[in-house]
Amino acid sequence: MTGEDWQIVWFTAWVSALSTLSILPFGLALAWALARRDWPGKSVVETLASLPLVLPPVATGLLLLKLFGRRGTIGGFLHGQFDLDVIFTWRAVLLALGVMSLPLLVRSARVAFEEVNPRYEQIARTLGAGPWRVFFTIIVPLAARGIMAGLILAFARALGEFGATIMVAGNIPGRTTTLSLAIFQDVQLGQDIHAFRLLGVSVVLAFAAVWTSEWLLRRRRKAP
Amino acid sequence: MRPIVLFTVWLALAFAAPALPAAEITVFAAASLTDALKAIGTNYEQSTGDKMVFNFGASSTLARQIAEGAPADIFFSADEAKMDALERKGLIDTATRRSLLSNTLVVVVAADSDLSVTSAASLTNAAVKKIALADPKAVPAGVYARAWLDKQQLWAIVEPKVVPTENVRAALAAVESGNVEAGVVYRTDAGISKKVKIAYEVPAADGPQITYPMAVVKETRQPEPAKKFLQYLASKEAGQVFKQFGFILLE
Amino acid sequence: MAAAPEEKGAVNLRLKSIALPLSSFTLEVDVQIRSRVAVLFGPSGAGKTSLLDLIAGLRRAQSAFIQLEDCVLTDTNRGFSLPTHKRGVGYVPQDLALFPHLAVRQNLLYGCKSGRPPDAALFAFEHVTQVLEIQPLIPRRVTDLSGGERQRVALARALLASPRLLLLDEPLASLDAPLKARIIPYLLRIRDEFHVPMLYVTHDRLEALALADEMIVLSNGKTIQSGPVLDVFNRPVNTEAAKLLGVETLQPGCITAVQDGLATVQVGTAALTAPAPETVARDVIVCIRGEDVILQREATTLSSVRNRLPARVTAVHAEGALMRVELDAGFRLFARVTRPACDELGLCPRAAVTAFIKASAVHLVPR
Repeated sequence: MTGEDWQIVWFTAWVSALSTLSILPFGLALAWALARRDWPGKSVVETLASLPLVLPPVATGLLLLKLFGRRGTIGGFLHGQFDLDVIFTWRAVLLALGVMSLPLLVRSARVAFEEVNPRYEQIARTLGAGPWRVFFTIIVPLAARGIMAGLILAFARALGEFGATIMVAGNIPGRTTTLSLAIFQDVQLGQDIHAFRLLGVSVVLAFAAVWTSEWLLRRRRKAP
Repeated sequence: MRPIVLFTVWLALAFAAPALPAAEITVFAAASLTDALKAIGTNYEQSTGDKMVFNFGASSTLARQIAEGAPADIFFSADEAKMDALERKGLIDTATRRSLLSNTLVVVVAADSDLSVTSAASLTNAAVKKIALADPKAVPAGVYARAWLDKQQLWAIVEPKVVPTENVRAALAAVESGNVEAGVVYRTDAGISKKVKIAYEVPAADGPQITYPMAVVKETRQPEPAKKFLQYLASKEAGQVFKQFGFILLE
Repeated sequence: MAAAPEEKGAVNLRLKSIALPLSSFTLEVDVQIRSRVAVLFGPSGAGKTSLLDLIAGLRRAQSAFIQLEDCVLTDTNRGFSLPTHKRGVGYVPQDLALFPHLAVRQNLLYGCKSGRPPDAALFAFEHVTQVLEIQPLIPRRVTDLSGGERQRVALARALLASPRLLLLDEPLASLDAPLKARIIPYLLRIRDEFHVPMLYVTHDRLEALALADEMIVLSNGKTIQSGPVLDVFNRPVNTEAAKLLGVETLQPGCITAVQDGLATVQVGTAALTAPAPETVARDVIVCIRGEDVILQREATTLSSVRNRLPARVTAVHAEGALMRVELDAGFRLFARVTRPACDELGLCPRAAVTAFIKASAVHLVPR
């Protein structure tokens, strides 16, 4: 394992962590909205939120490419107003990882929220707590285990993301190369031994992440 | 009664079968040859009845696939190195190997771009933020581009701006999409796209020697039809098509 | 903030035009409550909890107008509903809902940081915890508490939020009789020391009698009767109310004569004297509470009791500290006596006794 290899591992780890943290607020908000209320168009949003889980990752990558490219709706705006590029930069990696792992977070968090007895929320409100305070002091702590499991699952997914990433970020050494992209390239170039070394690191990371997530879910929750 | 049935069945079979046994020839070819070979292939199919199956991609990827046992009859590479690698592994019928074509490197920009490129040094301008190349580590087009910039001693400065793509057509697409300011591709690629324009043509002296070797793969199941196609590729007819698309004929 | 209440700690709560469709009926309520402790009385599933939820703002009704003192909480006509956390209405639900992830101390303090200024001395942490005697419990975890302790912590938590009105949903339902008896004094202390008006839901007559000033009887979502608690118990307005309020003896009867405001009623094979109802009808339902029936072994001759019926005991059931005695007095009659009395009289099936019922305890409901 060379210095370059460790750079790839480090980059993969921190961009996965950053993407997981970035989707946290939005993911929780969405999970909460899907868990508690019924509103017109809910089933559409539900489906959209699950789409990256079901679509081929390259298809999702293609959609992101069109949207965030310099000629796309959002990309054009960012490029024009802020001279900010997304495609072919580390921001594209962040975007691809975030979009692909969001459904996992939303699913876990939603189930966790649904399992919280609504009575607690109601009583907290009668005690004078506004909606934000109720959410952060009652709902989230009681759903914490499920949310944590969802976060870790999202992180693991981000670590292994490939299809969407290669579409939007390219595979720029030192800049957007993640573990999966590096392994792909090694295979292309016939560098199998190096590929297997990186594969080993990937397995270790993924194993640790999934194992922790399962352990968190298995622990009994305190009876409400 | 029975003889008539037999006769009818034989007649039906006779007419159902083709007049001559036709071959299906699989050609693994560099991405830059896509349009030219498709046109040539169509002509060939019409005149001989053989069926052409093309697999276009980066020569490095194709070489790898052949080494893994992919069922190719012919390998048409964009540089000698990939062919050499297969020859060293004993996968090529060396007697059939020949290099027919050459190409020119060009710098392309989006059709609506006002970027001016007068020499290799222009690529070092701040206005050029990203340059798409086929992966310079392996894909011939990228290797050639890097060789060119190395020769101008500009590679180290340009390298941070490089966005490596899977093959030369992907680099072209990146320029078309507007997500990069410029790309280095073959002149033949620039020719087929209306969304890009050539900003600078690399003079032959500045760049590396570009050649496209082709050969019959040793493990082919139909050596004769494959050799026949290879000969056709060297013919005047095929040469015309190649020239039309912008390739340089070497012989 | 509040208009001067009629009595210190009394509430002025107006519930008007409430219509809330529930699973098998629509909750319809239209009352004005002015008292320190009002009880919502009725069988399970009558809509009592739903009504509390409406008052706390936890549910929306098809139509409702709710006003507490001079503050409108809900007015569906104007599409207005004050959010729950601004209502100042405390709630102690049936399952208590103590926050499991917080210690007792944090549970208690949860309502304290509200925007409304607490009535400093009255709802001070020390005062409340002292009155409800939960100070030793403060450092403990919620899961370590016993039933009675959880009850008091839930009450304290609601109080510490300085509510203007306290809603209690069958708070003693899951407790056994001795524990109930021990908690009721704390509730009385809340009424007397903190002057917090309470709206109390129960289907237990004894709790209602112990705590309520005013009572509203709810059945299948409709208000059957409301008023001062003793009035409601003693004068059920119809048979349904009577049945709910636990007037045990309900028998059809026939008024045969009315003289000087007293009616003679034929019930089964017995004749009873009772005050004549306002609307005189021939057919009535006779309501007699078990507590009002006195049993004696020998019949005495001179007594103020107008109704003396020879009867035979048919069954005896224990109910808490009392015994419920079923008799055949020419009609099916129920009496409640203490256990010692039961033993003393040797009440067992087929025993012969005389039942004494004061005329004023015989309540006639016209059919």
